[in-house]
Amino acid sequence: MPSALPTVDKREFNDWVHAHTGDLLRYAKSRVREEDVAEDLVQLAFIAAWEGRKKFAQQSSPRTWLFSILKNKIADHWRKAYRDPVVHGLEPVDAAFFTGDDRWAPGHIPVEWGLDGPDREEQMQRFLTDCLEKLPTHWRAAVEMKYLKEKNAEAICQELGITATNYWQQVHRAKVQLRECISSKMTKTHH
Amino acid sequence: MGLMHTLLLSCRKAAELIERRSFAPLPAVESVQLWMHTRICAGCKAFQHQSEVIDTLLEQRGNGVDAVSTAPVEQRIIAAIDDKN
Repeated sequence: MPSALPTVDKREFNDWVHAHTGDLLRYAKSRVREEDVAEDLVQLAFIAAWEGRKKFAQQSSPRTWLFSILKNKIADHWRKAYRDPVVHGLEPVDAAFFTGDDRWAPGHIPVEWGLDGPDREEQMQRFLTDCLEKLPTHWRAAVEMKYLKEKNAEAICQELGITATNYWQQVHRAKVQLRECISSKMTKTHH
Repeated sequence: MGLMHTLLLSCRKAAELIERRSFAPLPAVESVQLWMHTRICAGCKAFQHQSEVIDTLLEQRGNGVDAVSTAPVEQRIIAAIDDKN
C-alpha cells in the first residue's frame, strides 16, 4: 500500500502565502467593490486552505487550488450581497434602450467600436471597471457569479434563489448597461 | 423593417438571444432567426461583437502585474493562521 502523501507544513504554507498573495489579491480586487473586502476574502481563502490542507494532497498546483478556494469565497460574497433585501430596491429602468416596438431607441443603437490603437485594451479594462461600479448590486452579483466559472448556471440559480430565465435576463440587462456605459466613454475619448 | 421585425425577431429579442446563447445552445429556429437578424441589422451585429468583447474583458480582469507590494497583507494572513494553531 502506498503511504499517504505528507501534508504541507507551516513553513511551506507560508511560502505559498508569499508566492500567491499578489495574484490572488489582484484577482479579488478586480471582482469585488471594496479593497478591504478583497483582502478579507484572500485571507479567508488562505485560512480555509490551511484548515483543509489534508485535502490538497498534491493533486493540483497550490496556485490552482488556492484560486478555486478564492473563487468560492468571492461567490459567497456576491451571493450574500444578492440576497441582502436592502439592495433590491435599486432596479433601474432599462426600457429606454428600446422603442415601444422593440427596436433600438434613437441614440442607443450600437455602433461598432474602434478597437485598434495603443493602450486600447488597458483603456477598455479601465472603462469596464468604472462601468461595473455603476451597476445595481444584484446585477453585478449575477455578472460576477457567471464569470467565476467555478459553478454551472444551474448551481448559481439555486444559490441565488432565482429561475434560469431570471438569471440570464439579469446578466443580459447588466451587459446592455455595461455596453452603453463603455460606448459613451469611448466616444468621449475620441474627441 | 416590418417584415424583418415579424419574421426575424425584434432587436430587443435578438439582443436577449445573444446573451441567452452564452448560457445554453439556442433552439434551431431561434438560432436561425438570430443569424438572419444580425446579417441584416447593423445595430445588433455591433451589439453581438461588443457583447463578446465585454465577455473577454470580464474574464481577463486581474491578470496583469502591478508593482504594489502585498507584504503587509501576507504578514497579516500568516499571523491570522498562527492564531488558529
